[in-house]
Amino acid sequence: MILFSCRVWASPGHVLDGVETFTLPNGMTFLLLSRPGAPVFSAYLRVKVGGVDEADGKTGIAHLLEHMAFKGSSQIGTRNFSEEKILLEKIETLQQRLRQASLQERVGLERQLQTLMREASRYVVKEEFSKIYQRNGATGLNATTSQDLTSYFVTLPSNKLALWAYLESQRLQDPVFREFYSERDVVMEERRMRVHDSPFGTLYEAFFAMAMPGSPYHRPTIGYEQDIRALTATDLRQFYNRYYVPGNMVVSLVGNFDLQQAKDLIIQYFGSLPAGPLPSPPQVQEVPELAPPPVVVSYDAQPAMVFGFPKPTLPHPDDYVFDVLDEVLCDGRTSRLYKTLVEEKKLVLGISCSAASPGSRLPNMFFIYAPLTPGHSAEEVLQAFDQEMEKIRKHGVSAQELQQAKKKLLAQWYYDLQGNEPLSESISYFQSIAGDWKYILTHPRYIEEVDNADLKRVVEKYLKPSRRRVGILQSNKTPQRI
Amino acid sequence: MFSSFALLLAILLVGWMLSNLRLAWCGFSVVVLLLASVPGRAESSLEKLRSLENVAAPSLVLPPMVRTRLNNGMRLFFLRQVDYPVVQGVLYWPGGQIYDPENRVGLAQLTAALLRVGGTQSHSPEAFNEALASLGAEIQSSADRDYGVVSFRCLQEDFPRVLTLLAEMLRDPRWDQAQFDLLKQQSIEAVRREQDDPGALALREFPGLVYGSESPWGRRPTVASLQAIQLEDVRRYYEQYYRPSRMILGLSADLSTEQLTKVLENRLGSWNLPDEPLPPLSPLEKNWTGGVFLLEKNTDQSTLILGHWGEKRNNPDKYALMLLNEILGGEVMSSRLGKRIRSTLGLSYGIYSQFGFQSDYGLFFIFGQTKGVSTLRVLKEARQILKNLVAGSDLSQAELDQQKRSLLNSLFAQYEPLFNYVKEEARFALYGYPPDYLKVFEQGIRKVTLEDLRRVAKLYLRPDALQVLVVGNSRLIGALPGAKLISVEEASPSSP
Repeated sequence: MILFSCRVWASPGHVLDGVETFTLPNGMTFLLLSRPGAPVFSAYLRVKVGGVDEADGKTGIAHLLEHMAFKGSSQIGTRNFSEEKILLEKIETLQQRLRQASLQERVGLERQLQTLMREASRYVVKEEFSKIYQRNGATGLNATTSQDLTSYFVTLPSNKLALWAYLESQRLQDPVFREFYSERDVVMEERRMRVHDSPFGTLYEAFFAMAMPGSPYHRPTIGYEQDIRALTATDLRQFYNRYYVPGNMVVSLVGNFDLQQAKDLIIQYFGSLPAGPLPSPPQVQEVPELAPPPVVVSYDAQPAMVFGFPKPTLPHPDDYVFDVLDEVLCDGRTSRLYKTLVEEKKLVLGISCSAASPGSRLPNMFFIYAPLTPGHSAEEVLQAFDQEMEKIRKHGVSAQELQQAKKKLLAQWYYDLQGNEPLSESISYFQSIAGDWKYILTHPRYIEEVDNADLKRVVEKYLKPSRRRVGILQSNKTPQRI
Repeated sequence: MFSSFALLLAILLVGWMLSNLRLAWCGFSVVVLLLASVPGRAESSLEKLRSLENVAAPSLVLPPMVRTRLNNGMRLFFLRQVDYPVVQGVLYWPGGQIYDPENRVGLAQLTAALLRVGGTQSHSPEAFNEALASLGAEIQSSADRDYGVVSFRCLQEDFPRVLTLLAEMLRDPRWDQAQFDLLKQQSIEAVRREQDDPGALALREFPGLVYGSESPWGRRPTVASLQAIQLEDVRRYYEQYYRPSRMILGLSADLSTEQLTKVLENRLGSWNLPDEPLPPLSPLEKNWTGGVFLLEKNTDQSTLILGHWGEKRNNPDKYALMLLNEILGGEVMSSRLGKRIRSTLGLSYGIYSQFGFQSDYGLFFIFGQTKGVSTLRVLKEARQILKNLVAGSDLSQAELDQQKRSLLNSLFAQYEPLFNYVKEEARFALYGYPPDYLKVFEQGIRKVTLEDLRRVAKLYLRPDALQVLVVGNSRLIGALPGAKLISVEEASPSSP
């Protein structure tokens, strides 16, 4: 290992010095960072598809597809694929017939369907895909779907690099959607847990539905209940064909592995994925300047509120200013809103902000969440918030505050990039979202350039009461759901 | 954009990246076992898998761990990290919530929290926060069930200043009254708001059903117990439990051992307090009283916990029990519970089991959520899966091998990033494990046989004596035979 002095580190970026970008002829991009340390590596696979890419009436499909990507291939998860395949096709044909069936026909068709599913299940090797990963030492094996991206990730011992390439290429080029209909039920359970039975989840969904009309961000990633219920494996296949094309994917590998071996494996396993046309980006209409009336959710829970202001996303210059503003306003006990709203006025129990909700591929929002102190109202909070904005608009912030915000962002920059997993996560994320992982490298420089005039301007332009969207969670002792 | 990345850590937003619920067990080195073959499968794909799985183990070269003591008795575990300009540290000591006085439950947590935000003799709370923030440094302080913990991180160049602040905080806390009042109010509200999250509520109420709600291991902070706590209690608790000689510090930084011990002795060495033993706690006695409890809540889903006593960390059957639990429900997708209740029946998003080990008996439980109308079905399925495991006849060598390989192969990940390694070492020391515990662990796992699994399943699992807690809506659930209703009074939204 090489010994660096502190001085070298004073300019951020050395940790990312060795990142190599490797693009296959089919358009699939790989980011490779080989570094010393324990014999493990962390892989991230990002598909640029999420809630924003779904058609109306098909919400939840990206997320359900992510679940189904753990169900194996024609080689993994089956006892005999040629026989299983026939049954899976019959199930789909029947599902399509069921959609058009009359009430009398339905009973018979449902029964046939149950029989076919039981037969198909006999061919399934339960959860084999996950089991192979696990017995080979996978940690952190998981996947997520956001509004912007679908992400698959895992950390493995270095000697399992070829196994990783095989398993991931299997689920990309040859996924089999077996056990689809029970997995759809699992997702319905997930929705109950995250949205229906969660006061915050209910408020969040209602808030974005109101706040961002015209943007795909106004719909929930997990999907509406009636949409999830109606999804079929055929829908999934079409969606997969359109979005899971090599040019729409980014993979990062970070850890202790041999670079040349990695490239050879990538060519061997991912080189044969057929190139396809890049999917067209989602349509966005401009979000109206004036905010609609607040949305109020009645729920059997303690009161809380959210509010937000539409803003541009990265790499717009103002997005960096919002990063600084986020620090100044909300990050930690020295932030302005914590000091005034929590400590001094005691209107809320805590406060948290996000400078990029609910995603970053499209224009987004500066978003704030606060649980209300008993006896205080959302109006009081908004009034106090406006007073704070007025101060910044008039006087800016102190030099010390600005310096502190920048130092915290710089320290956070290092914290966020410590270790294989976070490094892999970050470079793949920004390659997908910003089009180039080097966004990370230039970020500290742009932050350094933000000054008081920027803060004043951005507060003036974006954080106006007339632009503010508000959602209120009202406590309701006799619960009634909306 | 970057800061919102950090914010993803906040529970509030993390819920919005939909993620498949899985539980990872971090655990070490490689075993090469033959794949259990699947009948009727194309031979070529099996061959392929075999060749990719049966590869030579990677070599693990560990950096030398410094294990020493400061003059005040504090134990130090240190790894030099030369390739990254961040210093990270963790400080553990035995103590925690089980030592809360009877009518002051919540004191350990309040003390830990106030230590961080209550200022020091030379810094007001605000000045202390400003000093840390101006360096972008972070210090966190909390109390768990049987230990306390302080963790911190900062840029390398700021380490001396951050260590000064940390030492001040530990040695000379100010205990600011206004911060205490605010913290108390926030804690009371947090207890009240636990009622809003059915999962949190179930996990909170369950220990009381096994240990008894008065037991130091089973009780929990209530609005009343928190309201009773005064600043003087905090001061007393601190004086009794925060002793450097009981503390274990784990740290990674780019400093030589000499440089580090010098700076640590300088800041902390003179913090010298007499070593006194912790007050004795009455040992737990297992009593097996199975029952069904319903906590009425107007939700679509029911949250279920069913379980009983776990074991102690020093039990030699620990390794067999860990493997048994992995088979039962250690992993949401591929364990017996996950395969049946999630994957085949589609009845739950997250169902898993945990077999807990503590300084005294831990807890064993199965946890899951399902739509109200499926509650009885899931309870029945879970009980049956547990009964089959205890009967033991269908436990197979292939199942055992799968879990052994999984645990052993995953141990490599323990050493990355380096701080992980030192942090785990410090935690093992807290538990009283020997210095090369990871090797002991590895051997322990390797030795477990199918016979061991069958034996421990019968010895430690009692499907006939489960405490079952359901949080949900009885109109959807239907009749829960023999269920006793329990209520959580302070959670009412109209409470002051």
